[in-house]
Amino acid sequence: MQEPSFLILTALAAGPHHGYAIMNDVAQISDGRVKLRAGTLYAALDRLSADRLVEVDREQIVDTRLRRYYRLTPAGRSRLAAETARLRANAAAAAKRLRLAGN
Amino acid sequence: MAPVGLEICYRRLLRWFPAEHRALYQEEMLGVLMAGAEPGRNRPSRAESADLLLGAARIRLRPGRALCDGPGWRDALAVYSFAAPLLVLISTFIGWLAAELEFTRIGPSGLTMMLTDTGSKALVTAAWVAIGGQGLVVVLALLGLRWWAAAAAAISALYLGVTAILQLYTPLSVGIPISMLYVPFALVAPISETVALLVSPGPRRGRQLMRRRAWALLVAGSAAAAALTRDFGLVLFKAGGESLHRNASLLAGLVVVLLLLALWLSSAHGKRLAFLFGVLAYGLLLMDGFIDESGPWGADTINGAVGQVLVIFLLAAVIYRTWRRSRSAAGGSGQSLT
Repeated sequence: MQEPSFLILTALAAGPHHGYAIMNDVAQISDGRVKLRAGTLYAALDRLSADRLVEVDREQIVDTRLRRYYRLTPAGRSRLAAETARLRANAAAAAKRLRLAGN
Repeated sequence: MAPVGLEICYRRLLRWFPAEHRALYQEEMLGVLMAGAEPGRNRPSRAESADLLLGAARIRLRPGRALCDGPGWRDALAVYSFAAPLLVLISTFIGWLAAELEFTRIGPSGLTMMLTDTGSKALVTAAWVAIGGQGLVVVLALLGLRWWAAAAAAISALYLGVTAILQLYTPLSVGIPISMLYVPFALVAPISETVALLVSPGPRRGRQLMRRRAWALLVAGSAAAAALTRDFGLVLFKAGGESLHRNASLLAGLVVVLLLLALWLSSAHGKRLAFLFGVLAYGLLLMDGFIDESGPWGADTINGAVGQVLVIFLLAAVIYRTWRRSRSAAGGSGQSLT
């Protein structure tokens, strides 16, 4: 899974978010390292929704503009959990080897 | 309120996204873009413009996405499932007829020879499977028997594919490659027809969708394709030598390309059809040697498998995407974006 997708799923794990909130949350989660822009965000959301990992929670009109909230699907939650376990295992393996190497 | 000029610029950039994506996300994306815009800015930053353009490219180039999203592609495949075997058969028949009319001057047509005697029983059988298979697909398609037509095309493709692979190791007849067999358009036709018949609503729907202009294009396409068949080429060669054959073939090839271009420019439906018939045209141009038959994209050699594999890959993407879409539609619950 690519990092933007992982971070978007992580943002949505806390609850439904609209697009702009996802962008801000992703920046916060990554300590400002990843700044999603609209083109990347919506390409990722389109892919994630096609894969049925996210879905629309609700829609609002705010200042004449459409605001759509997204949420994780059960499949999205499982996928995020699996990806987290995989990354954790990789990180643990790397840490172990670094300790062995005395770094 | 943000400057109007900025919104116009964003809208202009969003036009690079596919229409169906814009219908779903454009207003929402505009809201996000305007909310994130720095105060006082009246043009998008370069990074923002690049991100939007890359996002649009990512979506347009996503494997399978453009191949069968929504009913548009299903309809295009339905038309193809009806029109493609008809086009192959008509063009082969015209080429054969032209050669047969010239029988006294140039001897029997290549097709007649292949269907009767090539010195190899396996080649004769393959030729009958190739031509008979297409004929059967046309008849079954006209009768609206979609699954039977798909089975006929699939069996034909399987037989010819296996024969072609076996021939790579044990030549069926010295000096006669499988592509000479009128394997209608070098396997591309039966394979693509099988896919179209399986994933579309079927040839009956395709026939309903064909208007007068579509029939005119089918006739023109068949005529141009006929000029590219080996039999017709032989007639031209005998009538006026290599230069006439070459020039006429180039002209016919150009007509094929122009017809595809006209189809492409006509409408969104036309674009889909142009893509599908473009796949068929690849096989057609390969048959006439426009594409070096012994080269990496050709049909004769092991290397020729590259081109065939590419076509099979594209078609597999159509099947996979359509299957996933239909599975999602059948099992979907709650609000979905797609």
